[in-house]
Amino acid sequence: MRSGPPASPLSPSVEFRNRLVGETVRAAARESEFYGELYRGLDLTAIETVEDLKILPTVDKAKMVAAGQSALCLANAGPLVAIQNTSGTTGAPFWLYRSLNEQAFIREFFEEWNSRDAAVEGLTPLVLQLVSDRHGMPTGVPSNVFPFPCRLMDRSSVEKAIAILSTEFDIPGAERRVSAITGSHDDLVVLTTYMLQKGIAPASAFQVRRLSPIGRYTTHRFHAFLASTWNCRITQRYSLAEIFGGASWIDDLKAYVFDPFLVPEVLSFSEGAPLVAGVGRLHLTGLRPFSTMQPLIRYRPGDLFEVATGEDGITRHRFLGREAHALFHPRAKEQMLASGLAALEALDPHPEFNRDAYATDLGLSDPTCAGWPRSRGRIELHDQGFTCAIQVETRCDMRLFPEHGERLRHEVRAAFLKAAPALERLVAEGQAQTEVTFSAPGTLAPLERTSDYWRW
Amino acid sequence: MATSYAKLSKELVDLLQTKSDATHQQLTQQALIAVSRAEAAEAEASHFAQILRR
Repeated sequence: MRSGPPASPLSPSVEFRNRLVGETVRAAARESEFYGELYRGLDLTAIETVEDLKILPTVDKAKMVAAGQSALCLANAGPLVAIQNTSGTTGAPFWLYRSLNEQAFIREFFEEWNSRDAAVEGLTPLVLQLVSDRHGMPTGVPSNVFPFPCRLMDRSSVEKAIAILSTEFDIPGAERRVSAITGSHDDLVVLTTYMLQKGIAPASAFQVRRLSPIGRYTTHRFHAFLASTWNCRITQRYSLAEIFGGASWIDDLKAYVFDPFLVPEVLSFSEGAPLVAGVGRLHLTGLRPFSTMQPLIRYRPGDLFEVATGEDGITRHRFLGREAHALFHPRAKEQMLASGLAALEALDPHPEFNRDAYATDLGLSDPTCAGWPRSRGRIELHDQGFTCAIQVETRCDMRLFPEHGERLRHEVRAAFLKAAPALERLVAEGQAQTEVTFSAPGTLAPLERTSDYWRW
Repeated sequence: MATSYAKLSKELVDLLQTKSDATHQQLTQQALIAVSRAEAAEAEASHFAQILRR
């Protein structure tokens, strides 16, 4: 890992952020009791670029929940017009307050953007929008598409979604068929599985060219399943309800690129220093006036990212899962040995493992089709090293299939170590051991996102 | 307020669309467009308008 100034020349996104970051910080200190106290004694006039943020302390959800309304900027925000919330899966829901002025600015900005987009020739896309209650509430923005909202609650709502995809519309200036679907990972998988169960082949039955999963991470297997079944591109999106904006997966870069109206920083585990290259904790700053009433500055959402900046000056980000799911060295806590995705990706390809159920009212033959394998990590310290074990719940008692079980254990362990090179080196040096153990059906509870995956 | 917001919006969109080389411009456009899809309840997908037209 190395830290230092970002590569030049500045990208438009960085210029965009530099234009807004100083006033974002100074207004927060001026108008919010919480930030005024937090930044007491700091020279905020020195903050002119995103690099200058490093002088500021960081915050997390617990701090912001405790701060409550003392963190709000009420002086110039205008009246409160919307209350949003996070999903609550990482503890109590975090209430988010949106003001008239920031909503007005967001609308103004996107209308300006869209007015230029409207000059582009082409038909307005039709989009099936799968609405979900399992994620935080988003902020609406104007757009140049026609969305068809649909919530997958029961069989009739799924049939409605299929009918929308099958319909040939006659809307002036718009496409005749739906060409894209956006929605949570689980809803996209459930809808697809329902169609297959009904004998519908999505790739030939419809004219969808793009799927956009949001919310939960889409594993390599789910990505391949969706892409091949629909024969279309998949555009993953990273976002969180707390801050307006997020990051989009850019195929050409094989990485996420963050939106210009928030500042991403990846801070090192050891010193909390901003990294230009390496793995660390993501921190986000929402920029005013996109975020006005409730500023979040150097906010830690609890996710790990790898950051790299190419010779082209473009900063690339790669999502590595939640910090609570990552494995750190038991005797050197600043050293990450395996990301939260390493065990998940090692387990997910195997149908023998039990998964959490979704959409139980849809009549699916397998209600767990969209779930992740139920598993936990366990660490035991020894005099000379440690053992880390992945415990996974199986659909049947694997003691009845000892040879198959042994092959499965070997495959999962090899895939896990391949995805965790730092741990693999310790294993090769004899400082660590890894093993995979099977649990009988119904013995492991679903993993909430707050829970530490690795337990002692 | 409305006048200053309109001015700032125009300035920021100008910055994203004009003060960049082709690669940066494409990236920021793609990243920006995607916001509409993921963040929007009412709009869910203005980025599709541009992505799908390319």
